[in-house]
Order: sequence, then C-alpha cells, then structure tokens
Amino acid sequence: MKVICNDKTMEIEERTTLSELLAMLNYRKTVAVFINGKQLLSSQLEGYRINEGDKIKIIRILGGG
Amino acid sequence: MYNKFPDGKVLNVNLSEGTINKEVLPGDVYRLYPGGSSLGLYLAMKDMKPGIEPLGENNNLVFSVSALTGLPISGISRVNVTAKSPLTEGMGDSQAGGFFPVHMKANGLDAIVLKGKSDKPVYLYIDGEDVQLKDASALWGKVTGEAEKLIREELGRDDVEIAQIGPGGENLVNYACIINMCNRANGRNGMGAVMGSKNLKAIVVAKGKSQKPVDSEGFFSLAKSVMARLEENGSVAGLGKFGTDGDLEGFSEEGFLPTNNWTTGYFPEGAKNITGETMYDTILKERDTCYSCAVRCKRVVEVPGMVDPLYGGPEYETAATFGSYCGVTSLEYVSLANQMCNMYGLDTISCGATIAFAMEAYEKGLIDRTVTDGIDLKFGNGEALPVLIEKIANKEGIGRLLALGSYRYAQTLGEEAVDLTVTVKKQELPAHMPQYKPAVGLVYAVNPFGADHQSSEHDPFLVMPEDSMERRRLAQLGIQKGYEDPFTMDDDKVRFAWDTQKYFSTLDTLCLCQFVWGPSWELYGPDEMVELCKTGLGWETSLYELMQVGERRINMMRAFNAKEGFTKEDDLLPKKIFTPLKGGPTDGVVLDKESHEYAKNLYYDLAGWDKEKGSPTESTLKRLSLQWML
Repeated sequence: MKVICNDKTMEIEERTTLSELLAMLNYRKTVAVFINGKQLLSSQLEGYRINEGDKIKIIRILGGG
Repeated sequence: MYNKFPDGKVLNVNLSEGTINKEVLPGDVYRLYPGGSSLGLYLAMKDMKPGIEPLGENNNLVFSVSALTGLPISGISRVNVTAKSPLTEGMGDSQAGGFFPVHMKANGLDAIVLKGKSDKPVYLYIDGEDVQLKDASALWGKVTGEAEKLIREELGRDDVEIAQIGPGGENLVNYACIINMCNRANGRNGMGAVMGSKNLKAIVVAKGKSQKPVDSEGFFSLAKSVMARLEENGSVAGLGKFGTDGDLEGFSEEGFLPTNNWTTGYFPEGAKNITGETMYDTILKERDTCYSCAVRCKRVVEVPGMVDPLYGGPEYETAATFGSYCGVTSLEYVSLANQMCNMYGLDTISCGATIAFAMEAYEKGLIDRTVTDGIDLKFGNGEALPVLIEKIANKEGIGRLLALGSYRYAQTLGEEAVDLTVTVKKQELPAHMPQYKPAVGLVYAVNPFGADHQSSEHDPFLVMPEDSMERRRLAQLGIQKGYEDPFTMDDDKVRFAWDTQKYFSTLDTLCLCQFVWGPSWELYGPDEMVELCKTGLGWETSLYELMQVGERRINMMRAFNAKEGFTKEDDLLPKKIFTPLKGGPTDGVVLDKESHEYAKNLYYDLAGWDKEKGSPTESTLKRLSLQWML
C-alpha cells in the first residue's frame, strides 16, 4: 500500500505497524510521530497499524549533550 | 525530625601570602547558595571589585561542590570552578565530573577559595587537616598525564584525585581549561588560564569516604531505582552506549550539524565517520564512569601509536568542533585533537571553533601561509589539528593569535573577519544550532557567561507526545504546550527557555549531572530532585525553593556583569545565525531575527530585568535575597 512519509510517497506492505516502519527507516532514536496531522501518544506508538494513504510525519528528537 | 541546613566548609588559600585557613559558612547562608556555581559566585564576588583583570592577582578562583556531593547515587559527582573569565570578561564558571568532586567533599570541603598569586609554581595538597602548598616547579610545563604521574610519585600514593592545568593554562590561553583524571574538563570560560595566572598547577585531594544519607531507606530506594530507569529510558541508555556523540549523524541528516565554520548544517562526507556509533564500532576501548554513576557515558578510545586511552575520548561537542566545524572527516584525527586538548589543558569547543574560524579566514584569503606558519589551513586538513593545538598551548607562531579565541583574533584582522566568528560574549558557540533550537539560541544570547548548550532544555523535547515522560515532567514546571516542530518561537517557548534555564542553573548549583537529573528526558525528574534533597540531606525543600536557587545564580552573574559594563547590547547572537545556510536539507535556512529580538525582550520581562539595560532590577535582586549586590 502507498503512504506518504515525511513528504515522500512510499510503498509498504499492508498491516505494517509503525514500529516496523521506524525500524525499516532506521530510526533508532526517540521520535515523535504525527499521522494525518494528529500526534500519536507514546502509548500508541508500539502497536499502531498504518493504513493506506496515511500521511506520516516522523520527527527525530535530537537533544543536548 | 527537623534538620538544620548544614554549614558550609570553606578552605581559604591566599597564594600571595602562602596562608591557609578554614571558614564556616552558616547553614542559613549556605541554603541560599547551596553549592556549585552559586556558592562559587557568592564566595568569589564578596570582595571582588568590578574592573579587575581576569588574569591579575585580584581575581578570585573558587572550586566548589554542593551540600549533596558525595551521596552514593548516579549523577552527583560534579565540581564547579568560578572566576572572572578572561574569555568573556564577565563572571565565568564551568563544571566537570569524575571522582575529584566526591573526594574534595570527603576531605570536609564544600569550597576552596584561591586568592592572590604565588611567586613560584605550586600545587595544593589536601588530606583532611593536612593542607599544604607544595613546590610545583618541576611540574610546570608538563602535560597532564606526565604531571599526574609525577605528583603521585612525589607523594608516594595513588589514592589521590588531581585537578590540574596543562601548558595551555600556564601560558594563559584565554580558553584554557582545568582537567581531572586527564580526561574530565572544567572546559569553558578559560578557568585554566585564571589558575595559571596564580601559578597554581594543581589541586590534589586524598581519597576519602562518601557521605551518608539522612534517610537511608528513602535515599536508597531512589538510588536503586536507577537500573529500572535506565531500562526504560532510551535517551539515557543511548548516551551510555554511544556517548554524547551518538546523535551526530542525525544532526547532519536533519541539516543542523555546524559544518565548515557554520556555513552549512550538512556534513554528508564526514558525519558517519565521526559519529558515536562509528566510534563504538571501531576505536572505543571501554566506557568509563563518574563516581557512583550507572550511565557510563564517558568514552575511552584507543588508536595504537596515535591515541592513548588515558586521555578519554571525544564527546559530541568535540567531535563536532574538530570534525564538522573544521570539515575534518577522520575520527582518528578528531580523537587525537581531543587527546591533545586534554594533555595541554584547552577547551575543545573554543579550540576547535577558533581553528575552524581560521580555516574560513584562510579560505577567504584574509590570512595566508605567511601567517599560518606555512600550514595549508583549508577545511578538512585533519593533520593540521595536532600541530595547531600544540602551537596554541605554547603560544608559538600562529598559536599566539589563535590563543586569543576567535573573536579577539578576528578583531585584529578587521570587520570582515569578525563577521565570520560564531561567538556570544566572545565565547565560541557549542554545536547546537539556534536555527534548529531557537529557545537554546535565546539562552545562548542572554546567558551571562556566553553561549552554553547545558544551560536550558532543548526545543525538540516539546515535540514529544503529551503523555511522554518528557512532556509530563515539563508540565510539572507549568510548561504544557506542545509543538509540531522544533523551530517555532513564541511566547510559551520563551517561558520554556527561562524556566528550564532556572532549572539547569539549579543543577549547576547542586552539582548534579544534567544527563541524570533534569526537567524532561533525564533519569530523574523534578519530583526526584526534591526527594534527593529531603532523603539525602534532610533538607525540607520544594521545587519552588530549588528553582529560586537557580534563578538567584543567574541574577548574581548578571548583576556582576552589569557592574562590569555589560548591557543588552552584549546579548547578541553572531551574524552567521541570521545568514542563510548553504546546501543540504537546510539550504537557505536562517533564524528569524525579528522573532528572536521579540523573544529577548519578553525574556527580560519574565526575568524581572530592566528591558533597556538587560540587568536585574532592584526589586528582582531584593526578591532573591541579593540586596548585597545593589
């Protein structure tokens, strides 16, 4: 199925979870995720199943140190 | 049970007269300045007049820990050094970890105040009641590793911790630092130069016992929760595994890694080579720790025949300043530069950034090989780094100019060169871009001791979900608004900057590590900081009192600086921040000047400072029990 992730169209398998997508895109750090303009809560990140046409925004959290 | 706040124990050393005495700071006074930077400022400024020379004998240099130091819990072993800074010419301070802090406290000391100037090189030896100034003539000119070895041999004991300067401090380089364990630095503000100006090579403390908590059960419940917290905290666990440098490649991919002296935020040719993950996979020998800390974020690297593990390994700031700032893609040369700075006692941020400035000046034709001692000072020349660092520390050739720091060196070259510098109050910016983190940029501008990345929380944590630990903790400070990106600047962001600046100021007062204790992503949050004070010390405190402690410190520095002639005109970000970045995903990005200026004015209002002068008002100083500074 097609989704838009950070303004780029991409093809992913149906029933892909957000965790799988993050791993696929090599996001290993803390992120914030917005689906169709609405931010997912931390408690929703793990099991969220992505739907056809979802517009996904992933923001990497880069802190101090 | 009521516990009176403990008295502070202060060791006064007059280096001109060679006298040493101890003084007790009453608990009711100590509670206002309960350690670290606040205590250092109070003790340093009490009898210091405005206008004194930072490298003259009237500058007071204070080493301080806190009332909490020595308790057996993670993130609690930090030592602060305070003096008037030769780099900013305002009040300066700097913090370092390791084991020196806890053993300074174990000798019964909360602060060591060093006044005057010795007529010959000395070091201060402390073993309980045995406190002596010892001849350091044979140590002068030695690099830190060598001096440490000689001191241990002379004393015939290994059970000591040593904070010392290298040749950089002896030769009064404006950004010389103080090093303990040969790899922990009180890096910023040139505190090593102040120590060198006093002919003080080192402070040596004998090892002692840790402090016992007042409420053992409550305290150890807090302390032992650290492993579970680490398990659940991806940010801090990542710091432990990959070090502070773990995110470097990510910064480049987002377009916010300062590169080629801040002309671009994108470093695709080198970021992967110098990131913490590559370090972990290649040259990392082991992970080191500070006293009683479970995080183990400290890097120890080894490159046989090139980089000695004694000198630790590069942090993120060091990898950026010697790597991307200079366009250097070699982790080995970055690690060697880190080693050289720790050997010679130089702040890696100011040193790397000053070299990056010189590289851009060279590429733009403002200086040439006749000035650079024949060195081809183009971006990317990693081989030049160790040569230049040695020249800086010894003030030889171009090193004499680079030792001034980038801003002062640029002033000798003219306005065009000054426009290439990236400093606030003449101190070089760390590697977090205000274009990406505008609240951090605001604090860079208004911070009394120059640009600092550890003086407030960073903007991206406000993008976390509202149910995240980070946001829930920030909400405890009244910071509830979330954002969809890190770049936005508005009224709530200004309050975020001011409130978290106060919080971080409290941490620098209590000498708590900002990776373990903090207002959002760290292992322990606001509730636990209060709990630590209660169970560890019996201090019946509140978040309100602790935040006021932090606010008092910031105001002390601003009030002193105002007497030195600092105004809001000194709260300026460099031109480069408002100049479009070139290339990569952030091509053309600038920080919006209008919103930044608006934010500064609102900040002065929130802080209770005079908007025209940028200094604390009389009522603000009185509110903070600082009427003695009027």
